[in-house]
Amino acid sequence: MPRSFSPIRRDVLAVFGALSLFMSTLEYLVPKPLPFFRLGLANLPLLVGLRFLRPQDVLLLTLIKVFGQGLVNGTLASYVFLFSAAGSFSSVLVMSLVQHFGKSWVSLVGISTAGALASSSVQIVLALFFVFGEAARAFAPYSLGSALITGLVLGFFAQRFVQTSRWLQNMENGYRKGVQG
Amino acid sequence: MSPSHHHDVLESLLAPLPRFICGAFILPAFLFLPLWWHRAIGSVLFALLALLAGKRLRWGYFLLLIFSVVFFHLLAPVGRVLYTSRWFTLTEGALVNGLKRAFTLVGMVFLSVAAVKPQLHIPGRFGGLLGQTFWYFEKIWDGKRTITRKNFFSSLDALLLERFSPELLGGNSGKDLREDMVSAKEQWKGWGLAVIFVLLAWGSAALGMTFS
Repeated sequence: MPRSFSPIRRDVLAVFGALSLFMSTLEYLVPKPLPFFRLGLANLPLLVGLRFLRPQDVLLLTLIKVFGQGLVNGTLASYVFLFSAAGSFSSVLVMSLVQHFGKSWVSLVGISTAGALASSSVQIVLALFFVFGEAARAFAPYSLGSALITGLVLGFFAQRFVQTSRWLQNMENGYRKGVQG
Repeated sequence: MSPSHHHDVLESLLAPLPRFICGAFILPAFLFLPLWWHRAIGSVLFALLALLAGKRLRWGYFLLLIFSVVFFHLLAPVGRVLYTSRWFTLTEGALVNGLKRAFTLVGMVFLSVAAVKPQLHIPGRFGGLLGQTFWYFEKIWDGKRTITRKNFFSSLDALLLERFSPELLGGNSGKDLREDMVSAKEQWKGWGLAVIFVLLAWGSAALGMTFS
């Protein structure tokens, strides 16, 4: 963690982390159409935060999300944590790059889709080594297909949230002031 | 995997920290179990512990995980042929490898679910930030009934505006708010029981390795 960590930045990260855990728990409670299908609602705060959070704070928020989910779900000491961490960090890395280089011509839908595909690709590679062996290649197209759909859906959600949320606007303004101060 | 929904029986016996350390020491013993059915028994015991810890397990998910891991292993034939047809060859090596891998994964998740509590105190500044996150999580969770499916975003926004107004930003920082939940005295409660669990696990692993 950075040495000079203003209280406002700390609060914003904690609130965004809490929202991520909340979305993750909500998603757990909603029945899934397929057993391995995940919409990835927990990524919503990360996705909307990419626009204004500093890169080190985005990484810290990802760490909070991964550890928080590991603690809430109890998977901190299992392979699920490894999959979650690898998927989240690869997704954030790709989303940050797309956000940085895409600037104004890539929407949140595009950023979200790129992140979902990155996360899914890394998890397929992990599944090759740790879970299914070579047979993981067989379901890779389905996994990538579902990542495409969930990435698009989450991107539309994020777009809508950014356009309508007054709370997010307040947080963004508060964070910018905190960073400057 | 399973936000807690029932009473945690283990809570009165084991504090979060010894429980986590206990799980961390049992895990390698579990991985030393040499045969697939040893790990299947271990998985069942860990599932019982998870249930005692008040966790809700999604049995369908785990059954599907076991089935799919075994199925994908069977696609690569290894060892003695047990059954063959025009479409499919069942081999002993592939079946055993699949079962061993499947029960290892499932057992690890059950153990982790039983051993990890959200109140687990992670030290340092990051631990403090995580504590603050959990505090805010509970603030949002308390208001979840105000969120409607029909107006999801507007109701979520209203809840967040109500709980986290801009004037409060920066007011709660610098303190791990979970410290109030678990006192220092309580932090090591049940370490003796944790040692017994660890010894039992390693004893079982030693027996398994000796007689297999």
